[in-house]
Amino acid sequence: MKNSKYIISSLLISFSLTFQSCNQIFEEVPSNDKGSIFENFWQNFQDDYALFEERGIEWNEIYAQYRPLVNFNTTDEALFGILSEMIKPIEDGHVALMAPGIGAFDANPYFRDRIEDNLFDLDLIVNNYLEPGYKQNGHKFVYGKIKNHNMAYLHFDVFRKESVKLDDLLREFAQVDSYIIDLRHNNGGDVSLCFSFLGRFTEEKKLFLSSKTKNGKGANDYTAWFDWHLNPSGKFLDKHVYILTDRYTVSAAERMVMAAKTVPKVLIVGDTTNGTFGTKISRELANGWFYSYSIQKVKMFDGQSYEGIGLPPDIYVKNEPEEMKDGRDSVLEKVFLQNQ
Amino acid sequence: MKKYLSLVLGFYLLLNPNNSIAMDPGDPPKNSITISAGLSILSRQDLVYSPFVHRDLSTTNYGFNFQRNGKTFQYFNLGFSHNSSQLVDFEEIPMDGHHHGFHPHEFLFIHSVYGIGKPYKKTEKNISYLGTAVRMDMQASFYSFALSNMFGYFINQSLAIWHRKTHFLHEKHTLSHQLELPMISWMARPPYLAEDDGFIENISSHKSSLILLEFVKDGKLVSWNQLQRANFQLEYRFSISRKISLGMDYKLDIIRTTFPRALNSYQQNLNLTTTLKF
Repeated sequence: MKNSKYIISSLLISFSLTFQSCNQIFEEVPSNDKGSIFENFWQNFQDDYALFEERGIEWNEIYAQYRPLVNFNTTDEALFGILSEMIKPIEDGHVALMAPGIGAFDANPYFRDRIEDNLFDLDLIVNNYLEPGYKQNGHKFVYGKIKNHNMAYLHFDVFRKESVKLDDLLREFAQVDSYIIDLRHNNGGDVSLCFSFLGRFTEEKKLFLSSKTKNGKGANDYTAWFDWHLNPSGKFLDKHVYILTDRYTVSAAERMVMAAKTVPKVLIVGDTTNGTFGTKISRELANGWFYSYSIQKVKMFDGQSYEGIGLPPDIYVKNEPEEMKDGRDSVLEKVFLQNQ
Repeated sequence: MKKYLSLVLGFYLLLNPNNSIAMDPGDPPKNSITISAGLSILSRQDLVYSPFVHRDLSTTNYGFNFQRNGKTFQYFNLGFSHNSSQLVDFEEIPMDGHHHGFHPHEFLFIHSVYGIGKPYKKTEKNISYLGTAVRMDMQASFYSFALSNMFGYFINQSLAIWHRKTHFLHEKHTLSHQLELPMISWMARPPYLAEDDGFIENISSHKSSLILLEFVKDGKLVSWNQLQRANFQLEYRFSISRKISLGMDYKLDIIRTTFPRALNSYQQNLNLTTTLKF
């Protein structure tokens, strides 16, 4: 009897721990009413977003403008519209809102409205400029030798290990005179994947950017500046590298451009980059929506921030739709001229 | 299960044939291996990633335990569990004009513990033990936020003390409860907002083992003031023969830390067990 009591009391204690409400032992959780969702969204930007100054945004004014529009009667669609309008002036390529069942909103006008999206066509390049035998995985990556030129070409869409074929390009096309790395319409990712490639073209360790990350809720809560260097790697290659950019060259792709600008025989050709450099994180709201923003300040080796400005190319060229209809990529052809 | 038990027994006999053969049939077996499987009930809030509490009940929860109850009481415990959770149920998200499949947040838990202790009080009805343990935890989280995914971790090595009491309820029934508390720990957590330059530098090797090593190196020595941790377990065993018992375990793993932001994790396991004694 005594034993039975012991078992029962032990099990009761355990199961009461199992099934009791845990709410008191957690930090306060944002509520799921429209006003609380607005507050949570605004406050997280206020606490974590790193680029109000660079983007010229008065976030308190945004609050004053939009908070009165949200109440218990606000519909999901209306709230989505209000939150979208709040982030629209930021224009940061890393700032976005996604509401499953309703839609997605990019703060960056290029991504949102697909401005000049049609000025890059990978299929056109594959069909008209690459020799047979090129390697391709959909639009993830394409690389091969350029027809009638002793040059090798690579395009990849994101900086992921499976897409970044920079080292494969060097290995498989060791005999070419120069390399074309096409970063147009590159969505970024992990910039460190380009270090071993670029390191082959430099003999000196060079600072290419410094960055600092939010590490607290205060406006001045940042880590110390962290210096990123490009180091020589492997046997030095005294060859030209052409990097192609456009307004959809973003984030890690832009960081690669910064690193490339420290390398002697690199030329940047194309359009100005997007101007979105800081590391991005994402968050969720109580109603299951998602949003993302930048948490870093980045300055190039010249000490300047190009956030919202973009990196200008060494040679400015943009494709024209009419030329593209004829199967021509003017940016690529400018490289051929430059390489003669 | 029968096949699995045969394999375990065969493995033991291969390693220790003499012990098994020489054991006096009158002696109670000193060693035991317990295999467990059951439920994992998770409530977890990690402010580095989300202010919300992620809850789940999953059936992916397995454990292995070796015990030796001789002059000293020793145990080696391995556990694995998996939970997934999302705030609002939906299966697809709109992106680039298409609908894409969506996955919930995933939480993986792996732990190992080696403990050694001694009985300090024995009566006919119960035995009390006190000992020390080394615990290792690898907890990985994959937060799926549609716009981008984020990887999180809690890596911990602790030196702990534990207390255990086993009650002999009946000839065939025992009930044990044990509480383990870490005294000092080496804890590795992500930075304040999940990613910073140090984090990016750590993952730049693109090799899992090196990345793990870098994460661990970036950890810090903490004690009770920065990491409140407790592992409680309740074990019921029913002997169906001299060598085999069946049972049920309840385990509660509490983690509370404020470094670099609050992590509050309550994981409970409810398992059915099979024990082989030898």
